[in-house]
Amino acid sequence: LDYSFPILIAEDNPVSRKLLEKTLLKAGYDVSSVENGKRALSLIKERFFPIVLTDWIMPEMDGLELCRAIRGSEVAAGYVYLILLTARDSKDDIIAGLEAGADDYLTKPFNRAELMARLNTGMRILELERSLKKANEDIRKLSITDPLTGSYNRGYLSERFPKEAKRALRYGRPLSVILSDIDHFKQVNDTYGHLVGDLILKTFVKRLKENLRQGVDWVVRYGGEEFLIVLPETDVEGARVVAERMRKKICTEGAEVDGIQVSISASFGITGFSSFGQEEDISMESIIGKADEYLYQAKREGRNRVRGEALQSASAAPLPHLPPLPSEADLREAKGPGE
Amino acid sequence: MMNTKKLAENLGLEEEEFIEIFELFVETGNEDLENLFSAIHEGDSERAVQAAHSLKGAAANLGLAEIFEAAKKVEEMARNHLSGTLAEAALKLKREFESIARP
Repeated sequence: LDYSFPILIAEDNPVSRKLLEKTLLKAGYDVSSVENGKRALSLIKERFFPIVLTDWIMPEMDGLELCRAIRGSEVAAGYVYLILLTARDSKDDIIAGLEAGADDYLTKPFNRAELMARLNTGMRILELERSLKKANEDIRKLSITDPLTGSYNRGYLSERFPKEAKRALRYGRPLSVILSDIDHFKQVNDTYGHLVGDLILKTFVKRLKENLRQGVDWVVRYGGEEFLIVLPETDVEGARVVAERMRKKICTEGAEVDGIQVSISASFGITGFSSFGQEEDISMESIIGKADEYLYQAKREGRNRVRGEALQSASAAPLPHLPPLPSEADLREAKGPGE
Repeated sequence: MMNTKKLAENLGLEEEEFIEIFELFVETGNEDLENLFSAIHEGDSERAVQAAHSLKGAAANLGLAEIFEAAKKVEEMARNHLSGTLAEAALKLKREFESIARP
């Protein structure tokens, strides 16, 4: 039984519809049927049918219109393989059908073996589409992930962060970031070698993630041993609590690599905002730059600590703005009437 | 007399499955014929074409050759507005239909 490719039949003639339905059910397909294109279209929006068998002439919406509607918009969740059933077998009609978006056609009265063979062709194409989609998803995942630690990479950061920040600003929601850096990581690498260093990075990210909300907070490998954590719906005080918890966990538990206990610590720079007005515009560079400043403060003050404050609202401490360009009228006025 | 076993076999169906669809055919065929005669009576050739077309398609699907041929003739005549011979062809279709629909 093949339930991976449910089939939708659109056919107005009750006898033809019933016969098709029976034939396909008998062949082990998951089948639904409707009596016109309009019904087919609304059913497809509710539930995905990768294969649609449609009659040509039907009331309300005919087969050609259905083909065009399915091809014309994103009504379905994936590719729909369309087979047009037609009593017409003139070349012109077949061309019109294919041009409307049908993948294949079948002349009525249909021959059972031919129907099955054409469905097999359809499924072959659909399998191909599925494997391509899967490959694309895998590639997408690879393209946004740091292979060593499984955290996101900087490419993904610059794609997602602006959206996240924009959303928070628009709805007046808080947003914070934590920039963390393993202390004296170069020494760890020099002492234990790069393989151990890599394993420590992995453990480090694992520790970070243990303190985060799954599916809400996200971690980016920002540099070699530097990681950025984005915390939506969290103000700076919340971020401080999280960073402090991470710091403690890392310096008390360290990392165990091949039975060797390696003690590590990390410094954290945090910043963020609670609810800025909608007119505010905060760039990714400015917020991360601020976190970076606090991270270096933490380093300067002896490492293994959390430093940071909330971002200052631009309206409280206005940034220098360029004056507006003078208009032509202003210029004329400045020149004076006598000139 | 209609050989249901053979017709079912041609369609790859069990005999009882065929009979189930055949009953549906009789039901919708009666409606088609009713529509056909009232359309002829009213001189509505478009509706006559539709009715004959529907019966033709259903008969073709089930492999009922005589009804298919008779319905095809009616459809052609209605399409070409041959009202004189249309009534005659429609009666022939009705006879063909009844000969198997009422065993």
